[in-house]
Amino acid sequence: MGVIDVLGNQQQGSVAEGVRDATPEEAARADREAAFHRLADLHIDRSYRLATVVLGDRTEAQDAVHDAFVTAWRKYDSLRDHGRFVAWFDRIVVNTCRDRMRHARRHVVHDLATVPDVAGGNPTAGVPDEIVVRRALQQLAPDDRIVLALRFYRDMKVDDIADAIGIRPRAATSRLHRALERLRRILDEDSTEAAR
Amino acid sequence: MNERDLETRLRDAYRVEAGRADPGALSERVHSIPATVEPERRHWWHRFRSGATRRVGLGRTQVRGANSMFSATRIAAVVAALALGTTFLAVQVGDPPEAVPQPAAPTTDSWAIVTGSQTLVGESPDCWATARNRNMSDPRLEGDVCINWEGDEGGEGLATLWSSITVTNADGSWQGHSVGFMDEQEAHHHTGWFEGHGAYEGLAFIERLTEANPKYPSAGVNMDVVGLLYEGELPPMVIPDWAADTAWDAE
Repeated sequence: MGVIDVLGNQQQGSVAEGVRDATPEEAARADREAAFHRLADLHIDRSYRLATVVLGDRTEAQDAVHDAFVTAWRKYDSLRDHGRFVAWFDRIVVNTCRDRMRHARRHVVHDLATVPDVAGGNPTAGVPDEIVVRRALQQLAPDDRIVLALRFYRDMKVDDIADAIGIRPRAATSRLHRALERLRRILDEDSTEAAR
Repeated sequence: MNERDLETRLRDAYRVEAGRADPGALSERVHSIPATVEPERRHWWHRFRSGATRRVGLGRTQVRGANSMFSATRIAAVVAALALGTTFLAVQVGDPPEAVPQPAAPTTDSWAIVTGSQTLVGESPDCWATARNRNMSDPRLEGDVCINWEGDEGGEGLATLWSSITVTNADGSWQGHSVGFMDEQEAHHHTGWFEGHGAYEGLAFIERLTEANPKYPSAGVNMDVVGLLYEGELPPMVIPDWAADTAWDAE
């Protein structure tokens, strides 16, 4: 039985456990909470990992996912088709990450455990490639970072990416292409700098 | 660096980054949200005749058949009502706040502006919504309210709503419809139009209802009412004669 079936049965199954004598409104609230907890358990991990790769900062990602779940809880009744919860919540996570990237502090807090000491000399010498790529990603615009993460971390198709960020598929294709080009340019510049 | 190399480096970087991510205490934070955050949208539930409690019509698309409220006459009534700057209603459940009575002098005129207020709730097994504390300046518009409605939701609070309504008192009843919407603050804006029956035969009433305090955290919708009670029928549909207009312009 899928998630939707579980939730659907819960919502149409009238009364939640332990609230047999509750009013319809109380039972509805209890069902709503149960659905929320279930959805949180199912989606917290994947959402957190997406936020982490988009934001490049685990603490920021925790806050972003928390904020996304707050939004989901507050607006849950506006979700018309519960079968589309995943797409709906992905969009909330993406929007939350975008807002945080736009409005959060300018400087990026690196995880000291993963950033080697590069004081002096070549900034990329001895640095693991994933760190080099991560630094390059952080120089991209928020929308570029989002579209790259959805495509190359989530392996989403262009149509799904377009749906997640609320643009037309053709625009998503263009944005993806531009983001890759920008990333390539940054990495090439870093590589040229390292070769000097 | 070719495209495949770039994509491979990107995927590898993401994989490492995601692999190090551990939600940790995030789960506990997220699960505490319902205890600390009030849902923004109010509950749209009602009890059916069967006794089952379900989410109200939002999410279903109205099938507009022969008995649809969107007949020519009804559309004409809406246009007329909108032209008069009027509106109408919607639903909710729970323990509502008290509606604030509108001061206005009672009247029995055949043409009269009527003001009032009511709190809409969804508590009747026969009606998807009823009204508490209905307080109208004209006693002919007082009575028990029964609303059955439909709606479509557009997300972010936006919704269209339409309904069939009866208002019944000891002398007669008012039977009519409404159409309206909810804005981004989830405030209701509606127009209703009614025909009188019983002692009110030959009278019509067009009203505008707006939600008095849409941000009120409790369930229930407080509505301010203003309308025109008049002797006559609901407005007919306007069918413009464009050809005649063109000829007139040419002269």
